Amino acid sequence: MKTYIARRLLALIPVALVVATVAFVLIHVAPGDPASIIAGPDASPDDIARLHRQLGLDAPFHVQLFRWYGRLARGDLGQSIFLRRPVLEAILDRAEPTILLTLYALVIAVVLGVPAGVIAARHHDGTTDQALMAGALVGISIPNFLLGLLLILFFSVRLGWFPVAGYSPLEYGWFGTLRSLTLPAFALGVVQSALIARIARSAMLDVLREQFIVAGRAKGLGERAVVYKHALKNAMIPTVTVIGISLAILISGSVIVEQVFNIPGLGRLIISAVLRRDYPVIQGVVICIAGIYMLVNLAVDLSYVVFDPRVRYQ
Amino acid sequence: MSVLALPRPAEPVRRRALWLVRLVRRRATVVGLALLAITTVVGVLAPLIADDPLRMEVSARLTAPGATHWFGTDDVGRDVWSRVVYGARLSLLVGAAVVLLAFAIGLVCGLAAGYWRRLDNPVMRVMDGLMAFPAIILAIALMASLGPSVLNVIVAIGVVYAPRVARIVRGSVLVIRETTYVEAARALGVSDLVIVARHVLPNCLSPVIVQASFVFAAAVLTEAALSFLGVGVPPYVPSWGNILAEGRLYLQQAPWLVLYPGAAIMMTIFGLNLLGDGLRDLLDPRLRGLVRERS
Amino acid sequence: MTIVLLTLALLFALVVPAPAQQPEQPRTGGVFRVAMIGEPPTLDVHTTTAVIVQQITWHVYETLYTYDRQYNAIPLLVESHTVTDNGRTYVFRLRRGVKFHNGKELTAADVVASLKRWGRLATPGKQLWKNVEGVEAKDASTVAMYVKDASGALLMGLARPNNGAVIYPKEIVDAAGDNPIKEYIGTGPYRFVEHKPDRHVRLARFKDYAARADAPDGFGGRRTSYVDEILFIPVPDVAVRLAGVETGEYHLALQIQQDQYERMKTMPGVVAAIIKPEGWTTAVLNHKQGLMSDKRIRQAFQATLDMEPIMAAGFGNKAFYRLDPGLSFPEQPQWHSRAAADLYNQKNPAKAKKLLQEAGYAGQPTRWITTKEYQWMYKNALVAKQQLEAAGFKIDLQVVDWATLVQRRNKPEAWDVFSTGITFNPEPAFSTAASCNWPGWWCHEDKEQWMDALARENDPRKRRAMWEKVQQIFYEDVGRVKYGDYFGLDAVRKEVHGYRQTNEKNLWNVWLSK
Repeated sequence: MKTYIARRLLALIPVALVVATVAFVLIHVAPGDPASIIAGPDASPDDIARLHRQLGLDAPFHVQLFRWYGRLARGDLGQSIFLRRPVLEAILDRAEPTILLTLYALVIAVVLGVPAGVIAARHHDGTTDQALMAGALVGISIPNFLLGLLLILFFSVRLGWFPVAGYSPLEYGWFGTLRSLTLPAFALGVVQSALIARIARSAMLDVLREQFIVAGRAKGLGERAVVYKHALKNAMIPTVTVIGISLAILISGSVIVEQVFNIPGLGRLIISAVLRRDYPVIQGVVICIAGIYMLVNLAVDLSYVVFDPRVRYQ
Repeated sequence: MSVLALPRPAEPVRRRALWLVRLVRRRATVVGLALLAITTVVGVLAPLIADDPLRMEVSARLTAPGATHWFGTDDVGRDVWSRVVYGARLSLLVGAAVVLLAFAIGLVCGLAAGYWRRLDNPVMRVMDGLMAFPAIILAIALMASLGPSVLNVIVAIGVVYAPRVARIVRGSVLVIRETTYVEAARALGVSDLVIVARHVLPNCLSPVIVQASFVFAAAVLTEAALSFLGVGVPPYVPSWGNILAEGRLYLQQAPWLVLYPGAAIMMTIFGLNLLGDGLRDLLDPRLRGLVRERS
Repeated sequence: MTIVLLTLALLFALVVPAPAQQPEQPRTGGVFRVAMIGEPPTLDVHTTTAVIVQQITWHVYETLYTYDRQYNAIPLLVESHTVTDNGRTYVFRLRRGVKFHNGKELTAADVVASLKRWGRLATPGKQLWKNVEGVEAKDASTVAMYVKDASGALLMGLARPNNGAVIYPKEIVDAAGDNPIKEYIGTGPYRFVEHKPDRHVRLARFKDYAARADAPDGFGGRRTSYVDEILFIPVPDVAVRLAGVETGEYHLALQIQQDQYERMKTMPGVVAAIIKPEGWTTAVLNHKQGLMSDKRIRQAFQATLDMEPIMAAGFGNKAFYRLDPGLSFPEQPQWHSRAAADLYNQKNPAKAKKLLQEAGYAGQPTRWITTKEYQWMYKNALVAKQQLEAAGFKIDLQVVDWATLVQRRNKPEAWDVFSTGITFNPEPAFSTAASCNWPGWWCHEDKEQWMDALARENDPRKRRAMWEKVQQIFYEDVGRVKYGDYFGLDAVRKEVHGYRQTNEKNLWNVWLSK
């Protein structure tokens, strides 16, 4: 088991390096001198020259790259051009709505998706199964921003149950925050729950066909015990994988949904940074989100130690 | 997580026909094909069945769907039907081009990584690194660097999905590499490149083809999302994402601005997903249920 | 019996009207939240004509004079003034005991330093300064200004809020020089607390504010800060701005789309505030560099346009715009004119094609910057672009945020056309539309002479004739291209009292009930 964990951690390093390199290269992919791009079209030639020196852009490429790695290791994500503050600060400022939205959406996705998948598997090929799977297919076919717009049209504009847009910060109260995040969380979560349902169903089906289940049934165990105790636990592995992946997908999905609902989170931050060509912020947000993604995947991999005994003995 | 596929031995002609029959027999897949066909026909015939999507008839702004404007008009008087139709054209173009690009890159990288041991680690680490970014985030960042244009959208989304294809290809190649006939070919002294081209490549295609439909769907979705956010195609190119973004401000007065392009997106992606499911069930029945891909 | 009594009571309650609501007493307290179209490009009023900057900062800084209800200049920081030497010497006596937000008392030295900087940097300032020989502090609370010619416009120039002659502390002026100021200290009823880009600009009541004793009149008189804090929040999405007022999250939202007016009238708790007129919309052409420096190309641009669809696309509701050639508004009969009306709204693409040919236009892209943050700017540009392209122009439309546009328009090499609006201005002598110093750099010898004369003339009839001449040249030389007049629409919560519907939007003397 220890080797498994150690190997997983070690495997992270080259990936992290690649992530950091990709983020660095982003600026250089753009046509033109990076300093003039960062300084913006409104900067004077003096400003650009100064920024050039400041960013160390006159050093050879590999030197710049290593300096970049060093800064990242220290946690220095640079300075935002437009906001005139450290990128890390701007990110931490906007993290609250995105984190809350993602967690809320994850809860919805799991609460809707897992039971749906399990029930569908139980009633395999029956009408319930077909109905649920048809619904799931529709669910993965609808873009989350479209679902968001439709939810607004129905629940805010027609019924008035929820605010049309906007975010109520935690400091003004839990209830307001939850209320302002409900429609966006559903827009994100419902789409994701469809994916989870499909996977959970398949995982359950595969497990239900396995030998030890047949053996359990032959032994005379009640259907309930078979399904819930044995099958479910084993079906958890791919399901947990999907839930882990869902977290990462939801974070990126929130980027889009935040635009629809005008929530001041990381999504709005990166979009406005793109529109303003504020490259340090783009790099910073991209690295943060990739970093979270990697950590989540690591957590999922490590969770196999709990769920899959075979892993322990590798 | 790699998706494995057993290499298929050569099939007699009769069984190939059976393959097609089995594909068509599943109703769901047929529905998927039909939906996709509708979108394709509409997109291809766009200049014939629709007016200029950029023409503004300001006096007719925000008219509800009716005889003259089948899907109504938007806030500057552009015909929504024309914009949706040309949007279909754009989505098809982007989807197909992304599939070609992602597969080209993915195949090359996957073959290289799977066949030549020394290339495996470096290539796959780069692929892993690219996959460490959620697709939409990487696409946004690439668009920020490249700038808004249809070509850049294709490149950005293609680069985003290539690693996923590469991973699948590599998985297949790893297995095929160990088969007896490849070993025999190597023993006979056949050059590596010939082996890869003649024996490995054709046999790793079937799991890849399954992915084509899903990658197409993902490309259409991602392009719509990028355009919706304002970082995709330029604003004057009609895209379903653009139309949704502009229609958003008039959700109350003119819901048709959101409902029609929305229905178009859903229909197309639903069709592609049905088709993809059908292909997968057909070509790799063992794979039904494993994780499909990471978005 | 009880039933009869009950019925009588019920009838009584129904028939007899409830006692009249007591007039609300102004209530101190609360945080006033304003939803703005976007981020302000700067907080230094001397350096920009962008209205959004004035709307935020004039709670923090004050000018020597301001406008009363009829847009006449009345004293604000000044106690009184005398004019001697045939109108060539102005002596301003400052009010005593006026404090800056940093505790320092206002002196003549601060006024002189600020006015000089304004005369160097601000568009109306530069215009006014052409007539100024000098300004100096006579003693700690007296400032003398020497002008070359007597001028009816001087006090109006000093009263103007937009790009206004606000008074900063001398130390801050000296430290900044011609660069933007680093600290935001003024004498106004609210002091600057913080600016978090993309979040808000926060102002708080200035406890030691020296309010005038006279009753409020227009923007002058006593300014009372009832609300504790004002938050200016950038909300670029117009649907969200309006929705925010509907739910009560914002007390005031600016620049609501005009076609939402009918819907707003049905919203409980929301008042639709119309600002009539707010301004006229325009395409500003670059005379200094690029394609538009050629007069024939400008004339082709002007000749093509059909203003009705341009305005209709931008404003929707017909009650909110009108086509009119005047540089001033019909609401200003002393200035409004129809001079050169034949060159306005020509709708003549054939003439344009001919002019383009004469000019040898070979299809070079015309770089046009616009923004979606003012929705109508974008829509105007979109429709105009279509018309111009049909006449043979090639247009490269660049959509950016307002703050970026305001910065970029200062560079003559970066654009050929940009979108903006010219807001209501009671004194044409300092009009940005007619200014040579303002982006676009429309400098025309005759026009400059008329503008200078306008600044110096006192006789209203002569001034009107001069302004008409300027308008004539505006059309013949195609200074800018005017699309039409528009009326603004703001959304205000019912709990807001004391709010006056003006373009400048003052939040002093405004209170929140409940």
